[in-house]
Amino acid sequence: MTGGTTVATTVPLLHIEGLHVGFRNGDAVRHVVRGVDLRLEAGEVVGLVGESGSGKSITALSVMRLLPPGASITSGRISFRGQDMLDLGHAELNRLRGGAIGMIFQDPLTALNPAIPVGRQLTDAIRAHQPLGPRAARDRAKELLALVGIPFPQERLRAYPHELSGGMRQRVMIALAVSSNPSLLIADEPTTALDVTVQAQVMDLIDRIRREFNIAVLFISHNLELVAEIADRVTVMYAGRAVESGDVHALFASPAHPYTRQLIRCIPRLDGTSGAMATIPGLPPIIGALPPGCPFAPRCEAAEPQCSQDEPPMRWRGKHMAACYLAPS
Amino acid sequence: MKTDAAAQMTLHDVRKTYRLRRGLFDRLRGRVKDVNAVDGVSLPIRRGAILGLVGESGCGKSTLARMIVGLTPASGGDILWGGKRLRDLHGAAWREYRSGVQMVFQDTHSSLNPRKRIRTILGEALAAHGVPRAGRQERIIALLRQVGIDPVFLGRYPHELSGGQRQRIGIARALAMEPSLLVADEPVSSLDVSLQGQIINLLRELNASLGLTIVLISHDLAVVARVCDQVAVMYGGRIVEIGDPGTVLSAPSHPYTQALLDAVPRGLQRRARKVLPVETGDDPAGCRFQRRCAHAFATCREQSPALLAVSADHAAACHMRQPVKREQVPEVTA
Amino acid sequence: MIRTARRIIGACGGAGGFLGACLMLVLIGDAILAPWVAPYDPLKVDMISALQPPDAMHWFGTDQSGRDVLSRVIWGGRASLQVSALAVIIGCFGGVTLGLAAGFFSGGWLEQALMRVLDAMASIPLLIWAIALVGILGVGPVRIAGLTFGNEVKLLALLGVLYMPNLARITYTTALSESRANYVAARRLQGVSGLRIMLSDVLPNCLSPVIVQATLLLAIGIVIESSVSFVGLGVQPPQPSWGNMLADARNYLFSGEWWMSVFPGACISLSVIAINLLGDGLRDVLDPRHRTSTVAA
Repeated sequence: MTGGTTVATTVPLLHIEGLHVGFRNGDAVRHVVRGVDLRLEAGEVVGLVGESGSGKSITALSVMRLLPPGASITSGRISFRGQDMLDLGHAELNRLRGGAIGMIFQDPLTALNPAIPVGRQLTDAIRAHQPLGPRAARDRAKELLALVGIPFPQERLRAYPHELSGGMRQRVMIALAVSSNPSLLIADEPTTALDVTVQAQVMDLIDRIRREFNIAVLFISHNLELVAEIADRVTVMYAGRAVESGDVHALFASPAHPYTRQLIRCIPRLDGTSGAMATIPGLPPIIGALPPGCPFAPRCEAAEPQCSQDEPPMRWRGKHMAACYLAPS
Repeated sequence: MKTDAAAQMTLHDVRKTYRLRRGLFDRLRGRVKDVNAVDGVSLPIRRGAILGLVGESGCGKSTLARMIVGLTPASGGDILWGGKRLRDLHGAAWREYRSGVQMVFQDTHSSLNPRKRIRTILGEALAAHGVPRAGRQERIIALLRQVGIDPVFLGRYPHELSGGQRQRIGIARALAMEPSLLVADEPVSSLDVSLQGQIINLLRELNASLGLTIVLISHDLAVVARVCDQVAVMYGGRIVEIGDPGTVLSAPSHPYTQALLDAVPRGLQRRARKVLPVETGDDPAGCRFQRRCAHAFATCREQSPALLAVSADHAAACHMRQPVKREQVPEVTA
Repeated sequence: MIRTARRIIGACGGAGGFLGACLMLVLIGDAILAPWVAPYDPLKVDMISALQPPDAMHWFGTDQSGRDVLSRVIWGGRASLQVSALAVIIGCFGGVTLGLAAGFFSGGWLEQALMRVLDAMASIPLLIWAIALVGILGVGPVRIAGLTFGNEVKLLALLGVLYMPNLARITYTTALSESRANYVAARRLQGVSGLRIMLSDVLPNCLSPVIVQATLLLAIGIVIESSVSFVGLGVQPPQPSWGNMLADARNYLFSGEWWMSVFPGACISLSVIAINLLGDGLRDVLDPRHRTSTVAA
């Protein structure tokens, strides 16, 4: 499913190795991301799935070095097109942000400037990365709005963010993100705040855009079902670690980690059944107060005594990884 | 005006109109615009049942919820409680309504006072319900047990709890008033998938054990289909389809319901998901859904379709479902 | 020990807040305990020992009339802090009441009326009116209900009124958003009266920004009081205040008697810095999300 890439595959587009991110609290460091590996080839869509607090968003924000105050990368490597991201200076980082790497967020209203018409925001973004005159930039902005399926793009250039609906705002965000011809799009819960029907439209749009321009997408969501719609590969995170990763079909057909399995069962389905919904008992662990052993063990339906002693290692079978003692290897 | 004996509450042509505030010039010229957030909803809420209310944001479902619980007055129509209009309730009858109809909110952060401990939040609800001070502690612990929260959390502040736990406290606070009707406005949409089921199951248990009538507002059709006894689909401030979830969701009679079903993520079956055209923002004469409807014809642009029975326990507001007998059948009785 | 120290510093919102709190404690303590702390009578003239530089007898030296500068600084601080603190209390009481009512009963005529009154009040230039008022009423003492108050009563009353719009706006903004929070809706569903909800649920959630702003106004008040006293319209001599002490020191700025201006001046700066540090610390501490229950997690 990877888009037609001619570059040698030895250097991935994005490569995260052993990423640790921690919040400093006095002398203690609470790790919210504890050793995550992620690899994205050009044109590929990788889904990053997890509950709130699993570290999925922090992992994505680390790529752009947009961590919340107090958080810092304590170890690990992030490289983009073979270039070490953690070595980059501010100027180079800014060139990448909104340049070769585009981002869209859950809440487009906070990501757009409320006081400036969307057209201006688009032309500013275009001219920051491309040598275009005001008129050419405006034409390009109009083109982009049409591209993301906004009706009457000419009129909408003058609209302020609050005058647009949630779905329209997310389309503007996507237009902003693709305005600089990025090779990677980081989408952090882009449809969570939207209605189902609008969500379907936006998912469709992201899928169309990334095919048309061969953009790799790191798609972050808590919704496994949604991720399955668009991703080639999926990484499931729990308590700051990747607990399972692999091809989306394999992961759904035969999940190797009990967490993934239980998560898939929780997805409410329109299959005509009624009665109690499937749940995962208990609560996700509190970061900084992880139980000994596998952090999922207290909620796991298949936990064995050894699970609450040592954290299980990653087990590989081909390209499918699961961090579980019970996973086949 | 008919009331249904089996109905806990009856909505009769309930409306809510907001006047859009515009600039000074528009006001001087007398140009004001009214928006019908809820545009004539008639519906009996059956005693002891779970009614699912489904629709997109802006369809009026939250406004309807706030009118049911009495947080927002209706601008037209009647809401009947115990056979009486809400605005005619006084004294004991009003107090019975006030404690008898409670609400669970979507945003678990803003629904609990950040400066109050769990003990205080539940204690003041009991105080408002007239529980004497001596019996409160015991009752608080019983409430926590009922919603599955360990009493060690009594001394905590809301922000020290997880989203799921806060939602349970929100439910306990509502239960403190011993309600007979609970309106749950998107109670799980801000929660993680693994916890959504826990809250929905809790509501189901309360419905079964206490006979609590529940109005469950959700945009998630799958959740509604699973736990509701009756589902109402709203579009543009009106109910466009209502019936038992099995029928409505397996054989929808309104194109909008079909569109909602088509939009549900299908995981690996990617192609199965269909996309509804973009909303246009204005409300046209005739059927509200016409601009986005693939089947719209001339009548749809002229007349607003009435909610008419399709079968015994199923009604839809669509011109394609022209009934044989042209009588008004807003009575979707049990 | 270290843990206790850390907890105290934490309660002040970090090292800056702690430093501010310590300085404020010293200043307020001195002001309250002035009759006991001050080594001399601040009004006692002793022409023989006039303009003495700081020594073991007079730590801060003496002024042109031989009065002890340290004692005058301590008593002057009492006057400055009194005026500023009372003005802030008046401002908070009025401002919070108006802002809370306007925010909680938003959407009605009350909100409109209150906000327009506040706009009118806010359009009054602060210092000019203070000076004009004293100019009209004169600098004499005021008699109210048989009690005699110093000239500074006019100043603090006016300051209090002038603070109101600012504090009311801050309260209004918070009250407006808090009133729309669902916990307020839940209280309404319990049948609790609006007034009760406003006072017991909305008000406590509006206070943090008000307290932070009040500390900043306290600092501004000290500066205004000093400025007004400096031009002779505030605390009247021979009663000392930091402002009129500076006014006295004007004539000795270039003749070598540095202690007359440096000490009261430093006190003004120090107290303003201390209050601002404390205000910044409070801003962090008062965020309810920083609160934890005493129960161990």
